[in-house]
Amino acid sequence: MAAWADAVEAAGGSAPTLVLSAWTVDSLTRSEALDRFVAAQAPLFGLEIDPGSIGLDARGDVAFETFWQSGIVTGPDGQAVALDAGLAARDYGLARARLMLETLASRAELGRERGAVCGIDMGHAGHLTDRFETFIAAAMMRMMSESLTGTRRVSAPADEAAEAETVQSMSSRPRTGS
Amino acid sequence: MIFLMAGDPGTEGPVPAVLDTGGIAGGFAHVGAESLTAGLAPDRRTGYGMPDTPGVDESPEARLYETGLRQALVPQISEDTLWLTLTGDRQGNRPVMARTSAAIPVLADWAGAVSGPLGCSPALPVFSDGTAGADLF
Repeated sequence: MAAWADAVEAAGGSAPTLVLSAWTVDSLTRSEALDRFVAAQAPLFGLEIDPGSIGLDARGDVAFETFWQSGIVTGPDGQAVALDAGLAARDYGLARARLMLETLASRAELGRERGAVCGIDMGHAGHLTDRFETFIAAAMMRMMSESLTGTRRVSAPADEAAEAETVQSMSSRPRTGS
Repeated sequence: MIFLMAGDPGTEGPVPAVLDTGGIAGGFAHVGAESLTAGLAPDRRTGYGMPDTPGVDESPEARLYETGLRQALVPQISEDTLWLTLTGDRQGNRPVMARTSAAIPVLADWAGAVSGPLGCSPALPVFSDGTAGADLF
């Protein structure tokens, strides 16, 4: 930041500020996991799998569901290969809260002036809160908003069911052609 | 006020975090802390319409639905040192030190349990990881 400011000021400009725009910790989607699962079969086991044969909603395919959870794929002879994939490889629960805290703190060290965390993502609505629950990462955000000077909650959907339903329905509304 | 979280994800067992006094003038008069741990996930099968797959360990997915449990506690104080014990990587902790009693009403609505007067005035602590793998934010 210092070198950047020096360079900009030397060129006649004013020193830049660091702003961490609205962001969140992303979530693994089922279709993303399916793509990875299918792609792993040929190089590892020489298998071709029709992704259409795996029901993402019904959750009946044990091999894919195991991969979805753990990142482990199992070949036709029972050989198991653990990939850095699946839900186990992502930051969820308190790990998600930790990553948010770590990200905000590390940018603060760099001189961040402003930042925002977005409570929903495109893959899964309401991973901080939804119409049912306040999840643990949201509890961490709440603690931060209480005690870090200049930090505040813009809204708390789980406190207000009607508002939460709006968030939920906006996120799950089917897309229409543009 | 400090945010602490224990070590790397996967850290097992209790992690002691030691806050050594750092010699900052004035000391502090009260301490408090609040822990954040994961609560039981709500019943995602009925709540979110998620079918079970027999024979598959679905515990990684349960972490998506962990709720936050906050609990107030007063750190253990030994001479000039504050001790906190984190339960592996499954707990965050927010210790709070107040310089004077006048700060207590200000802290009361969010800081959890704040101790009575300590009867001593330890210097404001500076974090030392000691034996712990805890991270300071």
